[in-house]
Amino acid sequence: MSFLYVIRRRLILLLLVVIGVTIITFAISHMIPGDPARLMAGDRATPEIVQSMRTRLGLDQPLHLQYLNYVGSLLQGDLGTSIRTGRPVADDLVRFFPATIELAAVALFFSVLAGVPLGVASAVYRNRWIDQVSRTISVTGISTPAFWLGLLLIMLFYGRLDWLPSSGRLGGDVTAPPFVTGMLLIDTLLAGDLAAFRSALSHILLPAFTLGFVHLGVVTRQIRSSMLEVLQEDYVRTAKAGGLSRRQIIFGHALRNALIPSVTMLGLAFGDLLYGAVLTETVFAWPGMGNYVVQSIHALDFPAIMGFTVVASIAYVLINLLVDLTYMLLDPQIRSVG
Amino acid sequence: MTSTHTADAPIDLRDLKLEFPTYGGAVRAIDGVSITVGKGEVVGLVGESGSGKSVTAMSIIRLLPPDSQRVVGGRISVLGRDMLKLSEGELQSVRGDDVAMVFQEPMNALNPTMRIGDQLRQVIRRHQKATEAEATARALELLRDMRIGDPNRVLRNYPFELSGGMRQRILLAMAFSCRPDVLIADEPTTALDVTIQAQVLALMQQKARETGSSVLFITHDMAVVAQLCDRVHVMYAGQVVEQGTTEEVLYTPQHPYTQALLRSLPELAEPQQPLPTIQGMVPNLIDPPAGCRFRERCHFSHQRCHEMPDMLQASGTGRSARCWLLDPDNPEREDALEKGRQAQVPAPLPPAAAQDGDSLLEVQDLKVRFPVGADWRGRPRAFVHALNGVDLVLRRGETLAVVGESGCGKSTLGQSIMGLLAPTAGRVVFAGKDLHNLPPQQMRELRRRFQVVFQDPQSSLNPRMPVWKAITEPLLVAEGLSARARRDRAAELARQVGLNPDHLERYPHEFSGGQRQRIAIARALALQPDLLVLDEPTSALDVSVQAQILNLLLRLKQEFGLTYLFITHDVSVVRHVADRVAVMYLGQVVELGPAQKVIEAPQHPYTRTLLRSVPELSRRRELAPADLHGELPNNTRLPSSCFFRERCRYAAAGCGEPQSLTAAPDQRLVRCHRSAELPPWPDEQLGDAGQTPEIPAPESTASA
Repeated sequence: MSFLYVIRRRLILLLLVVIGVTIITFAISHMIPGDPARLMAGDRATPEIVQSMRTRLGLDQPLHLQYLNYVGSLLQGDLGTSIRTGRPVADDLVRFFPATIELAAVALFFSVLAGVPLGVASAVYRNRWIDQVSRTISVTGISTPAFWLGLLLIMLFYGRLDWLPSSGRLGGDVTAPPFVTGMLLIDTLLAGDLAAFRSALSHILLPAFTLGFVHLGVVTRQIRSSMLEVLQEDYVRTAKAGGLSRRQIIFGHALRNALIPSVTMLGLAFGDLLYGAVLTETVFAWPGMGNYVVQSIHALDFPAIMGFTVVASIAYVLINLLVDLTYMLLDPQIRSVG
Repeated sequence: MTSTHTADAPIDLRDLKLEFPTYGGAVRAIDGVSITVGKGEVVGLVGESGSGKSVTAMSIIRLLPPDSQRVVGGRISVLGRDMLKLSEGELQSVRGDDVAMVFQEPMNALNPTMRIGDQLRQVIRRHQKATEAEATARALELLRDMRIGDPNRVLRNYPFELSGGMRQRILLAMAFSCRPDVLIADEPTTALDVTIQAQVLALMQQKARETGSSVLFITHDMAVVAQLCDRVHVMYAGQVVEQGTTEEVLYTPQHPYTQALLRSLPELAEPQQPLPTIQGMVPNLIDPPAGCRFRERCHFSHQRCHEMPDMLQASGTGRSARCWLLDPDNPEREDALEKGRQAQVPAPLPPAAAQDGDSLLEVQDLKVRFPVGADWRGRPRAFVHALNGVDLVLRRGETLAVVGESGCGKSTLGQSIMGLLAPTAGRVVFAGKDLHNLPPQQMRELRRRFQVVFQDPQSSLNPRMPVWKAITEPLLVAEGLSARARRDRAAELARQVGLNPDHLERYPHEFSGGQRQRIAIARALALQPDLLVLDEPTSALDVSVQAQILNLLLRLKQEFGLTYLFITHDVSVVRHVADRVAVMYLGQVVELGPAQKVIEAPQHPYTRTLLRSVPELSRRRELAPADLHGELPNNTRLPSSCFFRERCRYAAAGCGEPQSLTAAPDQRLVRCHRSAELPPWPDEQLGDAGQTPEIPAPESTASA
């Protein structure tokens, strides 16, 4: 299979996903009770005002035309106007989405950075103390509710030790960097403002650890079991019979092959992290998508909900495209055979 | 030959005992094994699965995971070093340098994500002071020694880009990279085709002679031992039961197990007659019975066998066997020998009814191709041409064997005949009906008349279905029989295939490989078919079990008037069971005719190459390096000439044309325009015809 073929197939899939997602969210938004025009016009609006609002929003047109209008503007990057905030949904997403991506990415980074070595050590020293410790950590991670862990961490590191802040993305003592990516860790570095970078880092540590800890358990377990499997393979025996050292065998031969199945899981996990961020964001008052979406749902703010759903779906498909390409890089056989 | 029992032998195992601790108790996998391999010697270690031969081999360089086993006694001395006392670091410097090892499955033995060159260089640089460039030069030289064409390209290849034969040569190159004093080869050619096996064995032998390496060669194949080994040890149930020179052990075996094993080979038997089998099963090694481990399966067993025999030396020779019959002072000896001689030899089958010649199945110009890969539009990049115009007629009541090497299309042919694979062109006509152009209802009706048995009974039975259900599932599908009726029928089928009907409530994993194959056969018989397609039905089995299954198939054929299409790669099985044989190469039949005739005097050059490569027990000979070159051509791009031309030693003008099957003497069809003018078979000296094993009772040499 060629790279081009995989990319092409994914792009077609992306198109289908977007069409499917827009149709479904659009249909739901028109099925559930609640009249956006009335909501927008306010409680005391006269029927005439509501009616004119309805006309302005295009809600009086036939359903399929409303859908086509929506898709048409979508293609121009116009996700509509949020009923709740009154701002273009696209603007809101640009403001809140990077914060969530940043949180999820740091959480993922942490869980991989800690989880892979733990998993490897666990497999290599199977049933020894290090394996017991790592398995305890992963079970704890998997079974701990994120909001509870978050509260504990706030109590310890903010309440008791006062080492780290408990909420927000940036301290009040530094100025926000100019908007480039929306991810503060990157933007502060681009601006060359080290003080702001440190502040951003100290703010993201607790929420990212909270979010990543659950996932750490999953990574550790996955790496452990695929390492155990790979260490049984004939080619590991060949390497051993060739007199290679333990280090050469574990890192040179086993790890790369053990990572191949894990990559798929990382793609799926990133999706989980994005959605899982909602709860963590609430605990740490992190101004990301989580809060935005929850509030939009309460307000029946359909343009916002639809905008978020479409963008999140696209992100999900793109991440999985990335996963497939990584897969091809790691496994030469997938690269050339089909 | 006795002089090898010296302290400075490169490999010297003394009374080694090794256990695998399990929850059920310790499995005594190796129980008092002594083996020596002298300098420059090639010593065989043969035995059936579970005999402990591979565990012995791995334990020599301490390759077994330390926490899964423990050595409870004995000594492992390699090149004068006590391997049980070396540290892990010291072991690492011995492995790959002084002692190298090659394994069975070349397909999995190389790291799939690492280039060949990197894997070779890594081992070289581990043991020798060499720069990357020097290591590359050395790797190239090694690959050239292994007759690998275009070694520069191969260094850049990943394992999956190479065939099994190529990979095994690379593993041999890796094993020889540091000029080891000792090579341990664990079934290195078992997964390979015979022509490739011949190439690899010849290269291994040649290279071992050059480097003066001592070789311990582990195999289940007695014929390979005959070709390769100076001496041989036979293992059974964790013990060496007989050892001596290859001639001694293969041609005048002393231990009843060795005798029984050799007798069960189809190669030595009268064709189409029952093979002698070994009754019972290998004892459980967690708690083996006291005394001789073979006692309960032995025709010669007597009172004294309740005591474990030592390795007793046969008089006047260097060989010994773990059997009381070799003790001339054993008072029970004469009686036991008499009893053994009278023990049941299988009753011959009555002569087969004449085949009436009425055709049951016709395959007409059958072609099958599979798409591979995808370009950016998702269209196949190429096609694998699996079958390229196969014509066959199967007559009612006959056994037609289809023989060929991997990739020749024999299994694809079987699947097309079963209606499991739609042909790209051509027809399969069963009982006058075109299988692939039949309305579904009629197809269902017809399908019950042909059934299939696959190679691997392990994976072809549903593990969560009790055996009676598995056997009679076809009856449920085809006839909707009640559970009660199915149970009764299952018991009847079980009796027919030699299974205990009381065991039908059990699940497949509770049966041995041979029993599972009986289950698969019972299931195939449930609908009383006319035709059985047998796709390598004994290839996964040990020879003693293979003998039982072959006997069963021969008996069932007579009892039920079955017709067999017998797909196999094993020429000795063809010779034993087949009436006629079709030899396949690259998706075509190249030779078709009466099995005895084709095997005794092959006409097509490929059939000759195939038969020349088959190791035979009766032929102690040098491995022929003549057919070293060539592997099966790539079947995505078919040659426009005769398909065999590039590998053919008789290729001449006129071979550039595609060949067609034409009639030859002895009711044969041969796909070669030169078949009439080729020199008579055998077309080269096949070594001294040598001794034919006679397999005497133990007395003949013991009392000499």
